Amino acid sequence: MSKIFATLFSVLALAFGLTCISLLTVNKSTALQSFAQLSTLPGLALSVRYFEPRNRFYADENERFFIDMRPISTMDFIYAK
Amino acid sequence: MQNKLFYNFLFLLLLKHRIKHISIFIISTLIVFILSSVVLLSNALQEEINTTLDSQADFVIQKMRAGKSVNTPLSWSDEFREIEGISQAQPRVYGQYFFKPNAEHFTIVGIDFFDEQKSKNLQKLITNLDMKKFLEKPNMLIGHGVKALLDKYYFFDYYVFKTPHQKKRKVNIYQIFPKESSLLSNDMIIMDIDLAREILGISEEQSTDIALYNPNELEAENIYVKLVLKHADIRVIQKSDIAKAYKRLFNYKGGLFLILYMIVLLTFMMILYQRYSMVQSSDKKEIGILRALGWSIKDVIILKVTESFMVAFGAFLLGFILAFFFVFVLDAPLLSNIFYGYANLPMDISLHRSIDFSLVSLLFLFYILPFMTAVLIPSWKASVIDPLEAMR
Repeated sequence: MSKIFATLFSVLALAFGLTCISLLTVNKSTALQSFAQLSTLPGLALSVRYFEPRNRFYADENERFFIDMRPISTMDFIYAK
Repeated sequence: MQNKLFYNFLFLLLLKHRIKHISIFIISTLIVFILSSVVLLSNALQEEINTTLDSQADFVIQKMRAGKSVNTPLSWSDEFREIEGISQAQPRVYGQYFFKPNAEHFTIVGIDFFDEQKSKNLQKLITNLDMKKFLEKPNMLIGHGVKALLDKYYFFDYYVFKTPHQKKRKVNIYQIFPKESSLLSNDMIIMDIDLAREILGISEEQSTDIALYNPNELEAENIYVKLVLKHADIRVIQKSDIAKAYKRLFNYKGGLFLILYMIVLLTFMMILYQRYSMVQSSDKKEIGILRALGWSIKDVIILKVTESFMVAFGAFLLGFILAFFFVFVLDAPLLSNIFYGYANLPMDISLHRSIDFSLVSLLFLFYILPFMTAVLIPSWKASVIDPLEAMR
């Protein structure tokens, strides 16, 4: 009786093995990286409506802190020297 | 108890109760398949995008006017170059061009092809590119989405752009970017910087924005403060903001699916609980015989839980393999449109096969744990039946 299950298990194991092999043997293309270096634009070419800007990731972080309250970082001390 | 005979008996039971298990197996496979497809697709997209982050500028400077980003004066780049820690200030020229016939937007990017680094990158991207021939005439390099759209309107070799000054500018299609870069290049047109200025209406004293590079990450916060203090109408975008935005974008769409999954899983758990609670008289007899033969309650629970685990594990494995095939071999038809959108140029990309194993184990736990929890109580209820009463 367990022969049926052994067969089913073998099929599943084979499919899993093939998945792993295809995952390990894939050659990563560098085209995307080369293109990013060329254009230096971060916006994905994901479809957007005409009223949505292509570079919608740009957030305004200007008001992150009050202009006079500059946070002290380690580099301040380095520059102070 | 858990020896060869136990498993033989377990398989016999599974075969005997196949009608009961098969519907649960099919539903489980379907649930795992849908969720795994979403997770694999979202993760593969995120992985692809994260590889491009290194090429991004550390700071992007934009000039703001009335809440909108306007063209930045070129003189600003010289000003920023003087800030300690900034190694390179690069004015960029890009913008959107409205393609009237189809009411779509292309992204035009102007590149200075005499810049050695840019030229090298282009050669790496498009092999056998004759730069001399490319620069002889007004030429452009276009993405797959742009090519498909221009072909639709019979612009096979060239396109005539209209400048803001109502002039017409004929630009030849020189080559198409490789399909592997479509995630970024699908709606993009790359041309000479002066030509891009003319088509987008950006004067020679201006640029769209300025990209700044800082080789020392430790100085980033300090430089950021200095940049913000330089001008009142300035917007400074850091590389980390872009990384956060990518994460937000994919988490938002993936999160929606996760919420739906939670609802489906809860419903499924209830169905499972009800299904396994319905102990039929034959089941009762079966348990009664086992108990009379000397099986303890614990042994019966182990048998019942293992039986359910086999079904759940098999369904998980099959669902996941099907999802892998669907996303990386078939390129996730229908589902990919949810991530790429329907509104603009159709995207045709092959994703790089990658799996985050921590995510797979999380998926496994999120599926197996509720499944086993729903099955455990009915199994225990069935196994505590009095053997004498059950066999009567």
